[in-house]
Amino acid sequence: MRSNKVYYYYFAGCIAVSSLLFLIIISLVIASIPAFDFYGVGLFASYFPAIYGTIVVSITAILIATVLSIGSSIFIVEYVPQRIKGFFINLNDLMASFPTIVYGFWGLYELGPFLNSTLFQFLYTYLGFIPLFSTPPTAVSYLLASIVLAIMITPFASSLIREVYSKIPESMDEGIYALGLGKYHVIKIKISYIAKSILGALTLAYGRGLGETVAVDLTIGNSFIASPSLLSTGITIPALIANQFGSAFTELELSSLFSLALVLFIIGLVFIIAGKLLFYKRQ
Amino acid sequence: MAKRLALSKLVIGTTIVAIVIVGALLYTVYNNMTGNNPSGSKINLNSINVSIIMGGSTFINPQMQAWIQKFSSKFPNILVTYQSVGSGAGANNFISGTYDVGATDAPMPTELWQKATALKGSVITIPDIVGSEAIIFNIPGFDPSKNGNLNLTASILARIYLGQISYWDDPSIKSLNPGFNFPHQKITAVHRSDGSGTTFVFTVWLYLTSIEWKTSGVGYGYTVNWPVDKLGGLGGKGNEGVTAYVKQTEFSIGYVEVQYAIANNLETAAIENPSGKFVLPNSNSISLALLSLDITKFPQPTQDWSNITALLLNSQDPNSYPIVTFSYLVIQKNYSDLNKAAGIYAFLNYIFTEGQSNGNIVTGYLPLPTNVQNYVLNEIKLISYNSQPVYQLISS
Amino acid sequence: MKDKLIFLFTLICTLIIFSPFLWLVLDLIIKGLNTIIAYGIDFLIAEPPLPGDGLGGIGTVLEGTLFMVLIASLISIPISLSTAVYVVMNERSKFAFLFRFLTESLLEFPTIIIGISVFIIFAKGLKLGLNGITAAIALSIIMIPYTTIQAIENMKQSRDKYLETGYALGLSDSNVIKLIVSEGREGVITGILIGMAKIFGETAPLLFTTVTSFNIFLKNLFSPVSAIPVLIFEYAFSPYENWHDVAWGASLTLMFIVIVLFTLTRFLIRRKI
Repeated sequence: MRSNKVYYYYFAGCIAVSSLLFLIIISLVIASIPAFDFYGVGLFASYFPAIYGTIVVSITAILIATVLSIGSSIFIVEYVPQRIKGFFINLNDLMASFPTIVYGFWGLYELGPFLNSTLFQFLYTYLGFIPLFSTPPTAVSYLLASIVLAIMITPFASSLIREVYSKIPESMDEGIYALGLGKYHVIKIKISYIAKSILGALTLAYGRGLGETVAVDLTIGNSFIASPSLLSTGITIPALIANQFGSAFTELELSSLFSLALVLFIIGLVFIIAGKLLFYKRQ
Repeated sequence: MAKRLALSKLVIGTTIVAIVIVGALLYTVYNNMTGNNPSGSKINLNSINVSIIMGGSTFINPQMQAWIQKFSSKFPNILVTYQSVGSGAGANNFISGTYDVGATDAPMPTELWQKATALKGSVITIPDIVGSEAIIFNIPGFDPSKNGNLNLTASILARIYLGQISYWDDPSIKSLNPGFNFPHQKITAVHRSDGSGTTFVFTVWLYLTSIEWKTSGVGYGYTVNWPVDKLGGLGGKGNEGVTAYVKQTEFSIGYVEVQYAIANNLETAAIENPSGKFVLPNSNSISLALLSLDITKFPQPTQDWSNITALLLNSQDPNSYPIVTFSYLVIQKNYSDLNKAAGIYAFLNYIFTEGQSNGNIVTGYLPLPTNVQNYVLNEIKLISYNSQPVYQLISS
Repeated sequence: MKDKLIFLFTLICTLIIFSPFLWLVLDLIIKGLNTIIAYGIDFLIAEPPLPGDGLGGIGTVLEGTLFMVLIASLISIPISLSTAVYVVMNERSKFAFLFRFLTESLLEFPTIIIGISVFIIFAKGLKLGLNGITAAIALSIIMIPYTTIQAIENMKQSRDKYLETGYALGLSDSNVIKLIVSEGREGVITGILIGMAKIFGETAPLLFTTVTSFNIFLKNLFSPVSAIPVLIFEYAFSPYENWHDVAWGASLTLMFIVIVLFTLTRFLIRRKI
């Protein structure tokens, strides 16, 4: 086998990452204990709107992001001429790293009012009978937060998908054309070929969406309710924590916020594990 | 081959640099930079080097920034910085020592004051600026120059935020405002999403002034469970968030610190005071509320101040505005680090002398009334180094 | 025909995802340039203005941000790269799987929690206080997973190409690794860049780990400096018009920095698609 000396050197990096994570988790657990002690499981009941909001916003965002990231990755690789491909790729990566706060307050002051008077109005007027769009449109909502979040996580998912998609050997394209099939089939087959990686990329992007704080805080409305309508205002866990951390006076209040953070982390973990299981199942 | 070597050198190089920096960090962390004064001679404020960290209230932030910048042009070696995150952090971080001075919009609750005193010896609580809460609204077509002021009472506001009054053409609103034809539109009530001293004062005032609020069980606090949320109430982040929502949302109402209303050219409601008059918040009506303040009713500076908020609300002066408040600073009384004690004293002294004069007050804030200023200037003389009042040790 | 449909569909997806961003950029350029032209190029070195009192600059926070990103990179690059190398070279090992998993978990951690945790552990617990260093620690924790995962993905490709070749040539373990890393260097450097660009714009972790006043220039390692995103956060939502203008100028500066970062590296490295 290989010599093990070299690997101890690199092992150090891994230890650093793991210990950081464990340090954070353990401090979260310790900080949450007073709240669990006092409230018991009722804690989740009382914070239900935040838990609900977190899940709704991230699922909606990931649904939008899935379609857009796969679609735009395909377009960039298959249709864009070689010379301007670089431009699009750079643009995409730029979007992925763009300051989240700028997305947030642009979303609140520019995108929000625009969507409110167009798309949201349309959804409420024509599809208002569905519970999903049953409340009158407002300046901020689950839907606005989801859209802003989707705009933020799609580039990230796209760049991961595009990397894998572009590395599929051309022989595969040639083989499919040789069978007399068209571009549609080429794309379809290539996508199913890398379906596992796409799922992996989306799972990562979803996790990213769960944790976004500032942009969502500004666009969701911060009302402590859980509504089935996407056009309603709501609250998510990171937004709640950001809002209340600075004003929590008592240990119990602080502890409750930490317990929420723990819940958030566990939700994220569940999804990552689910993603990985799906990943291995298809193999 | 050369490329590969260069890259591995880069990795090793950055690791070494990282280790060196971490080492430097640890060295500096454990390197005490306190100042002592065994000889007891006077110290010169221009020669000390000290960093003072304050934090807490978001309300006082803009004013604090102005004070800090002006102070640092006088004393560039006394670095004052401020972290604007919320009054809770102001109290807790002061207690844990992360802040040298805490800023809170209401004095800390009794348990925290006890903890602070136990950990730090005596602590001094002082007011630093005057605040006042305005009720802002957005009613398309409503023009105070034509329709008169929007007159509201604590009872109406309570019922709006309890979700009991949901439409602008409610009889109780109409009867107070006959000059306007209110449409049958839902009221969107905006409150704070973050824990806030502004909410604290507003809910305390509602609790004291309206029987509906008192009996509702909602209570008062930095955060409350707003019953109106179920009917579409919105939570704005900070005063600016509430202001933004009210500006953008037709037929909405909200409560903010008055300078946000002024800076955004928003109309404010005239609130009924204990004398039965409907008063707008302006420097006149607010000053009147403060003039009738009885300083002798203040607690001792090192005592528990948590019950003082009620003292300032609902002033008896017939032309006064009923929702007036202070913001506060909490300071440790005795220090073993002379530089720190001197720096803190110097900054506070600045705030309560030049800092309260017209050119140095930021738009929308109101300076402390003169009697309170003098009161505070006396209290900060209590700040001591090894039990000796620090102001005696400073040569000007 | 299906071919035409799929073309249309993917085109629309691309337009939907890129046009809001271009709108955002246009907004930034118009409003930000307005401020910078009004104040002059000193915008990048001057101190911020008092509330309601004319224009000023972002010199203090620009310095602070650069300092924080530098320290954060120095902390996270060695950690990211070594983790990536380990995971890529030992792909079958259970440890590698675990570390990959842990890295991904770190990625999805809400940045506000990372900020709060760093505040409690480092600022309060270890008494490091509120300054550029504590903030940089929080930023490095956020940067690590981005860099690591990009590095892993890219090194896998070069490992597949060069592993067998390397050993066949009789290279030692460390030389094989060097070969793989250097051949995959575009991906590695892309990872570092994406990580750095990401933390240039992070706000939530800084809210509790550093101060929100912007008058301090860097004097020593522990100076209480702040960062550009925090300034934007505080100023954009204040009631003072002049502060809003400064916030737009600061946003434009931030965007400019990120663009320069990208362009520079693309120029230095030939991309292979």
